[in-house]
Amino acid sequence: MRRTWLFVLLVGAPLSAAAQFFPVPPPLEPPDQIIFSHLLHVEEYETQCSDCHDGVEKSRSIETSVLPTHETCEECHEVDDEDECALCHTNGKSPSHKLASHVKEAVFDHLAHLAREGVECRTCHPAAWTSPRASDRLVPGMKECASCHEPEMTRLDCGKCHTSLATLARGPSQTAVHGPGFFGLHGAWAVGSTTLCAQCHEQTFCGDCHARTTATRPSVGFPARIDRTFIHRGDWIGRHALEATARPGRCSQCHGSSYCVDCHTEEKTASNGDYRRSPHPPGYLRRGEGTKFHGREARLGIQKCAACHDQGAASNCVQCHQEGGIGGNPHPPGWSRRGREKELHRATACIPCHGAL
Amino acid sequence: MRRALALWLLVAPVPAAAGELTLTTRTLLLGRGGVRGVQSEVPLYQWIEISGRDLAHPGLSAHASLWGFGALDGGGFERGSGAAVSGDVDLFFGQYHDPKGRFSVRVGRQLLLSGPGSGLLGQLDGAWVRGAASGFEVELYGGRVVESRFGNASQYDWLVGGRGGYRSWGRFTAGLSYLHARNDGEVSREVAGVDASLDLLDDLDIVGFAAYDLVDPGLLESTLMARWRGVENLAVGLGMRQASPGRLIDRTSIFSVFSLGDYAEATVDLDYRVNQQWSVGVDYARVFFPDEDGAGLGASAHRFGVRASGWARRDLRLIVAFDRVPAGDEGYWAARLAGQLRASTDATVTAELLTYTYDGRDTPSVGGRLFGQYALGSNLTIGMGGELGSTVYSSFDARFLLRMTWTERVQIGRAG
Repeated sequence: MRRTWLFVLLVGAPLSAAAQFFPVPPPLEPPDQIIFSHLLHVEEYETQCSDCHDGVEKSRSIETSVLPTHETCEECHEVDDEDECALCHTNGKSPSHKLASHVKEAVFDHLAHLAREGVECRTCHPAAWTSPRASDRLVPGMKECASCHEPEMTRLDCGKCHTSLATLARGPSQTAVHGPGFFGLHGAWAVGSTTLCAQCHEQTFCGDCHARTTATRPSVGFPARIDRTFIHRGDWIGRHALEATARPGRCSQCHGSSYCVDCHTEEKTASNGDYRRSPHPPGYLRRGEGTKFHGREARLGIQKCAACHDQGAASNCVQCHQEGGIGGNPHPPGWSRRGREKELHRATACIPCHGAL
Repeated sequence: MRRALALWLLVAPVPAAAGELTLTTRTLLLGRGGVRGVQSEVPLYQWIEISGRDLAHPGLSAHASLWGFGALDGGGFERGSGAAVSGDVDLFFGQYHDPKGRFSVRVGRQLLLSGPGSGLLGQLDGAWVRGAASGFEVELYGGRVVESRFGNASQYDWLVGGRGGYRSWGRFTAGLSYLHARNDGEVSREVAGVDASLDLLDDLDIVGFAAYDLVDPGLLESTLMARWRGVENLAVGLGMRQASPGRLIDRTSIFSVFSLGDYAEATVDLDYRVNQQWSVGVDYARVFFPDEDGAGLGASAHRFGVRASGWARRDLRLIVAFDRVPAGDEGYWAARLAGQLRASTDATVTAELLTYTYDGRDTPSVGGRLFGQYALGSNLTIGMGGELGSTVYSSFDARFLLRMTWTERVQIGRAG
């Protein structure tokens, strides 16, 4: 008890004294937002688009804003009446929000589009007719543009609409190219479409996840990217061996065959002759002596074996499986019919067991 | 590294025309406490990414992505290198894209992304060229393969390859590819590939590829996937994937002769956008593991998952996911809950909770992370957070992380 009082005296008192020198900041006010319902204005008041978006029909560039201003609203609302501020501003006491365009670094001609037969505001902005909030995104996405401009998209003529792709603020999932389920497809797409990917992404973007020389797991380097499908998230060390069996071939997309043994040696988790460190269960060598048998495991996930034991002629499998050895023939059924005989004493993969000529 | 530097010097252009130089640095300090037998470690990572676009000539650019590492204290799983100080070059190349899309060339350390087969994705110190005309395109590449960060010599002496393809208005692409790699003068890979994508209807995408092993003749890897978006807010995917793990090993390895078993999976997945804020998804796969005799398909299992993501409020993003992943006779269950709160335009707070329940282990792995990030102006972002976890390797694991990102863009060569 005495210690508590002593702590309060020694720490609390100087802190409270020091606090007097620092003014307490006023409580933060919530940022002002605009309250606006397109739905209400269009349906109830039958407002035309050009009533608020002055000059939109003649606009030839998005650099000229057609967003409504105070003066625009003034035509119907008493904007100078301070009691009315809360009608359109969430912070009616201190209205500060100004509308700003989301679209940057793009080319768009409203005049030319509206002059085309069958094109009206709703064609590109369908959501505006049902939008109850000012925060709803009503600028058309790539999908809307694609209804007419797919040829340009497919021949990668991005410059027709975009002055720059590198600084686009929109997320990939909002574009026509990266729809739902895209992540699972992206590897297959990339095989034949690297130039398509390169329209927006430099290789440095791919390298965040796929560079073989990478410093650490991407999920460690990007802790705030909860939206990304990082393979090595969470308890990766605990489940990495399971993953190697669960999705054969996936590890080798980024890691060379020596990666596992290098890391295990580095972290002193490799056996290296000390069988107490072996990750294998007891009775692993002989069939029926333990819960697992190495031959079966090798068939199931041969890459896992190679990851640690591939030492060429010094590989420990050679000790038993060499020609005439006690391990017997480890080749799969039909192997001898695969025209391998002529390589038997010449190929690097054959010599350790069968000997050189 | 010296080779990459030499290549860089050869291709590094003189900034004379209107261009942009971007410098991004990321600094990450991790700290892990020595709790209950866990070795303490304080690794410091530094990434530097430099990109120069439209340098000297429109379409000419140079890119470098490097990292350095310093072990301030101890070692451990995050250390990644035996040395107290380490580093490597992820990417280091100069490239030119003809603005009309007819010709491209890239020289330096780069990723190899075009066929045959995704399993052969790699990284090389070398050159890549592409030419295109009338819908036809040809890619050629060659160089030395870059191996893992542990500093071993290249696994291959060299590789060469290429792809010839045809693209028709984005409705159809098809290509044939070939890869030849040598290790100590002996063929370690020789693979031929075919790939195609088809956009028959506006709402249907089909994409696939196959890679055939020419050294030990047989299908090395194949994938066929379709995605249909015919109903508003719904995407349905169907897919098939096959791989021959034994053939994915270098043909110069002893282990390449032990198994010709196949792995295969048939998948179906659905993504549904419930409203503007929320979307849900389910996926299922019937998975076939290699047969224990070493040829063909063996036992099968079910893999499935459910996920939802969206905005609980305008400023709170949530992601929930459950998965079952089989791995031969074993497998695991995974659950993830992640949230990100935009406290203001400059500040975000991220929280994540993950659990893994492994077959054959009594206690699950549980881990969580809390990370706050604040933008000081448009160039500098600082973040701080902590992680707690309990895994099979450590009953209690605690870490903190401090992260700083700085970006600077400089316009160069602009008139006026």
